[in-house]
Amino acid sequence: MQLLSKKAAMIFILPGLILIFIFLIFPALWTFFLSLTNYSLLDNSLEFVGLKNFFKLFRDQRFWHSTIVTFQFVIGSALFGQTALGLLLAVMLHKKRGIMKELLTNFAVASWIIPSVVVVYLWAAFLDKEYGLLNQLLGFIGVTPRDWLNKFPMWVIIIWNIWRGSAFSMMLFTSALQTIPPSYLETADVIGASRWNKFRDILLPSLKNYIGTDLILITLWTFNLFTPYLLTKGGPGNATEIFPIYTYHEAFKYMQFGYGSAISVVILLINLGFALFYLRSMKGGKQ
Amino acid sequence: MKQESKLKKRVVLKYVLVILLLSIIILPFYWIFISSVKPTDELIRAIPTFIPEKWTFSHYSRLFAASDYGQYLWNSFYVAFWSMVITVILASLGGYSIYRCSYPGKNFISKLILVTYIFPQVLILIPLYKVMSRFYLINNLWSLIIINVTICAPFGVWLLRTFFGTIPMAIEEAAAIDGASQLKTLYKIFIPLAAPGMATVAIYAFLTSWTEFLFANVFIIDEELKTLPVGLARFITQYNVDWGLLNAGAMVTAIPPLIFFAFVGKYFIKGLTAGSIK
Repeated sequence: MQLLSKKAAMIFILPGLILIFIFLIFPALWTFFLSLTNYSLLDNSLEFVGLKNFFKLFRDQRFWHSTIVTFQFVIGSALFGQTALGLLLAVMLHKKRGIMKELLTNFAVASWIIPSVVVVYLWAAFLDKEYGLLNQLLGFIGVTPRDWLNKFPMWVIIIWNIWRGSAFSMMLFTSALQTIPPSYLETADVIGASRWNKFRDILLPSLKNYIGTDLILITLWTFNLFTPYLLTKGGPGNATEIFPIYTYHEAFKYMQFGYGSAISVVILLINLGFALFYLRSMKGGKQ
Repeated sequence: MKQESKLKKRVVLKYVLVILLLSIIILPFYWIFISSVKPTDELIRAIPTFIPEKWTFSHYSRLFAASDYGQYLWNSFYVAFWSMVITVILASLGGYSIYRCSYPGKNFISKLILVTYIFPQVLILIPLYKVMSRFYLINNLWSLIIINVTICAPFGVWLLRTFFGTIPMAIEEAAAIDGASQLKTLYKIFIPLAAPGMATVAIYAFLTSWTEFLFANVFIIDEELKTLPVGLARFITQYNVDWGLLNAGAMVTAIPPLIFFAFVGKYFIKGLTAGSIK
């Protein structure tokens, strides 16, 4: 028995659905349509061109370059960075108490909730060639100052994103670890299992679904992350031009809306592929 | 003996690792903070001081006197507050409908809600601008509130799944048999039980709206309607030599969500993890 009539239940979901349709699904469908046109504010054109944008895209050097840096960014900062480091931190701090744990947790969370613009500024100031703290510190041990942001731009945005986002994974895994019955680990201690064995045979299997959820969210978030733009503007040159920045440049710098839409359709398809892949491998693990 | 020294080595190693991690996380924060309270002449010294010799709040007073920062702060509050309120209402209604009721098409709707998550924000930026201008919402803070709600509500519904799903149906049924009206049942019995989940959604919506940059940067044109993240970004390019002012600006942008989180953060962490299980 349910409290609400079917009609009332449908009315409850309606406002949310209307918003999603007008401001999310309709614009997304529009983007699909635009990707098949040569819509541009520069030449004031809007003609149907079929799949021409996509053929052009696959021959575009910048697109392939952007694909490579995007995957470097996602694999480096989402997979190895946030997920692995988050897991490591959670396991390290599991069952620990004291001020160190409190400090570490709170500051990690702080780096996740403060606005990205501030994080970007923090990092720009930290890495500044003349006034930056990093060069000052390295100066003490005799390392010559470097222009980190221009010399190692990919490393900078990867480490920046790890720093910014690892707290989310850490929080997720910390709570997940609390669901593992302590008796499992105690039994393992009795039979003298090594740390690595405990991790591999007890913690990892119990965390499998959490890791899956985490990977889906983090991968999608990282794929769509625009904020590295504030740090590097996609440069120097186009060294850090990940997909969202590439789209933004084509659409809002060169005003090629049709072409920009085609890029975002490709991003959407890659996202979809990733989500399906993770969901499927999680389901497989359950059986 | 040998085992003991090995153990000691391990403990030392662990502390070194933790301290290293701590300093990587904390140092940039610390640097900005002390740079925002140092007088300008101390700030530009060739060898920087790690503890300010003199403390001053002049950068902060200059910030509010010389820029639109007070206005930015208000705009951000306005957007984050209304985004939060509306997201909680819509996500709760939607979550209730999906996880407590049954009707044809329900499964399709709940899948649809998850699918919205794979849309890149840049993907919808171009058409969304057109939609917003059709509704005369460009250069209006409500355009930001609407898009924040649209982005947060689906995730909110998904977060509420475990909360709404675990409250026994019998509670509602008993109340209904007692003759309480439907709305009263919802209000008096269901909402208090679902409150932790709704708090999680509220915090998520507030933080997301407070930090949102992309849409706020494109949809708002007038200086006096800009939100803090956009204001700060413009500020950085405008005053890129005045480190004291910039650091104070960065601190002011970061502190409100930190205070907010300090009070309600523990509900959020609990709710977030409860929502992502399964």
